[in-house]
Amino acid sequence: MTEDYGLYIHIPFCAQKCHYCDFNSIAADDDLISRYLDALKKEIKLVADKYYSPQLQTIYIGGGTPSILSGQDLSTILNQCRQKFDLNSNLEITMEANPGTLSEEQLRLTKQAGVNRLSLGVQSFNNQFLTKLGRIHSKDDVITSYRLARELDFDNISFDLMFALPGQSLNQWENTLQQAIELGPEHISAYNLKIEPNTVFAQWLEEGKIEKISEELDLKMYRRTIELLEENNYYQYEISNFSQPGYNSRHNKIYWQNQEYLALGPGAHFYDGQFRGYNITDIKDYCHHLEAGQLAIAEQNKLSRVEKIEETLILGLRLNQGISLAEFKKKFNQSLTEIYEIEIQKLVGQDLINQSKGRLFLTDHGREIANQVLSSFILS
Amino acid sequence: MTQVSQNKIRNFSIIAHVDHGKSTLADRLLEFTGAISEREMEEQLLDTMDLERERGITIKAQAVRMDYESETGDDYVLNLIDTPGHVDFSYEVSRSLAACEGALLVIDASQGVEAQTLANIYLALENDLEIIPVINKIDLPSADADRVKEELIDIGLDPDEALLTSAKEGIGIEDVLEAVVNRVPAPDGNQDEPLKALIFDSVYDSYRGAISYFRVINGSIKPGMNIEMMSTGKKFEVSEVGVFAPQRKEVDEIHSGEVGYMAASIKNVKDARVGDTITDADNPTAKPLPGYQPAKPMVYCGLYPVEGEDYELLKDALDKLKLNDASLTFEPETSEALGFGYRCGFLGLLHMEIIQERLEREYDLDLVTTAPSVVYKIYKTDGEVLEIENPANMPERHHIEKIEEPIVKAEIMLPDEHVGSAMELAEEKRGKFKNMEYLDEVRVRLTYDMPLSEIVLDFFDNLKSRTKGYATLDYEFKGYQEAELVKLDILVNKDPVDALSCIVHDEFAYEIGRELAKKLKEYIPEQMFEVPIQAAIGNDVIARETVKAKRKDVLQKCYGGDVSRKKKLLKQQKEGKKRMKQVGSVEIPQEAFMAVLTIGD
Repeated sequence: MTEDYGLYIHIPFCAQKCHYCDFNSIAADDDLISRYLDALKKEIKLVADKYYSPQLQTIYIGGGTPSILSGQDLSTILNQCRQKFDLNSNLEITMEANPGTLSEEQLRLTKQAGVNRLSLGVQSFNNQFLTKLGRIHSKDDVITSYRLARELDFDNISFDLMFALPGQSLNQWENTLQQAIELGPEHISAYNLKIEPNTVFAQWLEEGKIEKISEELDLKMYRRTIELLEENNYYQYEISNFSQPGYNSRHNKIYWQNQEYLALGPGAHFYDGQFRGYNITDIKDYCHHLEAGQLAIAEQNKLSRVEKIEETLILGLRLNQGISLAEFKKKFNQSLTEIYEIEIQKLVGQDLINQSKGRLFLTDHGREIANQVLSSFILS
Repeated sequence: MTQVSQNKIRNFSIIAHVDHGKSTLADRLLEFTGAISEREMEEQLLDTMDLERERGITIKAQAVRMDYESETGDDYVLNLIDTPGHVDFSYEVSRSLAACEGALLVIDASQGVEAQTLANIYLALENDLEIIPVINKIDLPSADADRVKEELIDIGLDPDEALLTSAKEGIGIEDVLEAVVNRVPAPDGNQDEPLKALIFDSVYDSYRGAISYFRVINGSIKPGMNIEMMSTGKKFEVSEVGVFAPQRKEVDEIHSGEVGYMAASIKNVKDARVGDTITDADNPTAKPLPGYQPAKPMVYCGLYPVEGEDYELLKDALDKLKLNDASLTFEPETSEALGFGYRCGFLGLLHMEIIQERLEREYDLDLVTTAPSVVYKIYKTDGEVLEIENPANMPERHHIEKIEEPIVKAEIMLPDEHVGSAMELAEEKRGKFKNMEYLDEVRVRLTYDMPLSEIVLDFFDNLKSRTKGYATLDYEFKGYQEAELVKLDILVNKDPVDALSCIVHDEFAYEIGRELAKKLKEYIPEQMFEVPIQAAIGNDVIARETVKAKRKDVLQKCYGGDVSRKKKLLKQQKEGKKRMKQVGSVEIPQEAFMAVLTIGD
């Protein structure tokens, strides 16, 4: 296992909350942003000290909407990281951006500060659905932002796309995929809408204003996604992720390979190899802790061996390549096939997982009902 | 504690219909005599099991000792033995009554005498007890003490002797205590004769073994004494004796006429059998007390641990429950679908539910319960007669000459406005109308002969809901009667699941099969493949439903490194599966095995 860490930085501000979103974000407010930036600076120092200025292989600035901050502020954050952490020479720095809030200056400054991967929250190329989702951008904003980024030499761009939207047809989803393919980002994340509690969508669902699409159609859309993207040189490497060869998200792969990542910002999650935990979610409370010179960890749990094993499985199997049996054995001193002998036998028999060339991975069918498969690997 | 003169001891019970205020009255008596302070008082103190308090019913007999100074200034010891009020537990009542000389008959002033009240009076009279009628809840606006008094005449009691109380408001409590002192006879045992004591209850204590609750008839019992259980001849040395105050309180000796408990390192629960007689091993009494007739189970079901390895735990738990519940019977049984378990016999549906709940709560067992069944008599063509308590064991149709099923005499008491709907229900459930009589201007008693199998399948709940909760039901075994019965099999994914088989009347078989298949479709969650559910009689499939396959079940969203959230979802999914029984390749939830009970809901 590598000594290098990933680093996730959470920017908890949004211009407007999307109708499906239950992530930690609030409306932007200048005073609060500046208080947050001060706290973040302190946190960078505290976290770097805690882990003795560790080497980072990836940085991921997520949100909320990172692009709501000015290019200057984003550069400052990255420069502070540069001072305190040991940055790998081929560091991947991803920034999530909302097409509706991107400016040329911002893109230029962040590029200069080292951002080399842009993840655009496109979601759809259909304005009607964008409105329904509560997005503040239009289809044209996406095209404009994308072209701008290309002009400024961003050569690794990802689109987030969403399907299984209430009222969406298979054709409409195909249209969105086609338009994404035409623009040609290096990476595409495609995931189905999950209506989370305490969101506008959840309320609409309860009031009968929207209706969930059928499991059958959801499945059709998912299968079509895989098919269409593969025809166009995007290969699925994880349940919801596709890329042109060589453009997997290195940061997200850290999660799936159960490697270490550190966290900055309110509500951000970390796993340092021993402890899994997360920061205080409330932004003011978060700031308050850091202003007092303390880390703002809300909760952390030391993982047992069994928990580490479970998590290695439920994360690793999300990747199409699955889990290397040799690496597993090296890490846990016990063979995976021994620990899960009965489960594996059963799941192989049901054609849900497969074992070949020293790796254990989901079959196509297994991927479609991955929850059923992955839950079998929960031991506790 | 110094010895109390036997003529200052009174042993009594309270008998009542469910809800007529028995436990509240008991609580007031305890409070009044200072057996427990108001501060310590938890509502319905005598109902010590969580289950009892939740359901507001008494299941187990309980004993408590009270010290009372009467109006004449004499000090008395009053032993109250509480009894269950539900129809399923009349056996428990008879046990308790055998240890008493008197009984308070509590009647709700607005409800009047009910079926269960009568049954309990008969039990009290059989045991030769002095009955003191107590008309309770006189504070209620709907109270009609005069009407209740008239009803007392009808059942042969003297209305002038009735006491008027409101246990809730604390009215008439002292009158009750005075009546106990003045009207219940003192015990007439002989202190000098060899020990003779009746075990009326036993509980299991994991540290001290079986603890017996007993009433001393003759002689006395104290630590160090060698005692003998007369039914088994087994001998034990008494390590502790005590009284109920109301928690167990150690004393030096328990004398004739008194009620107490005993610990004697009795490891095996079967050696402290309720109804047995305890005597002095070195100076035994000549003849044991009559004891009790063990109650006969009326309802059977299979109990299976969800996790096969819990089989031994289930056995231990059943052994322990059996210690203080002689009416529970169980025998090992194997089901193709459910593996190893027990076929258990119960007094009724409530009894079954309570045992099941106690096993799950007190012994932390996850159980699958099959639908309740009664005992059928199968006359085979070769002349052999079988008693079948598990539908799965029914021989094939062409080997059967005839089948007989148990019939009960069912008495339904209810206000006349609900008679129509009750009769409709009774007829739907194959009841044969016998009689209808008015007990007064509004209250009616309907008498039906009904197959017990229909009663155990949720008849009472149905009756309650159709009569807005007004009807009460009482039933007694009448005999066996031939009936056109068939075995209905359920096939899940083409394989018959023995634990889902049931025996039904030919006329309704088609309808029940269809309904059952439909219910099972609701209960069985989507699996990874399509699962056909079929109902069949012999080789004829009479109904078919299909549980659709789960097509897509995958968490796609990444949640930015929040692994615990993903894991929580998967854990929930796994937990859900744990509560299911793997039958062949299909996961069937526990409730599905009781699905037949929910038909018609």
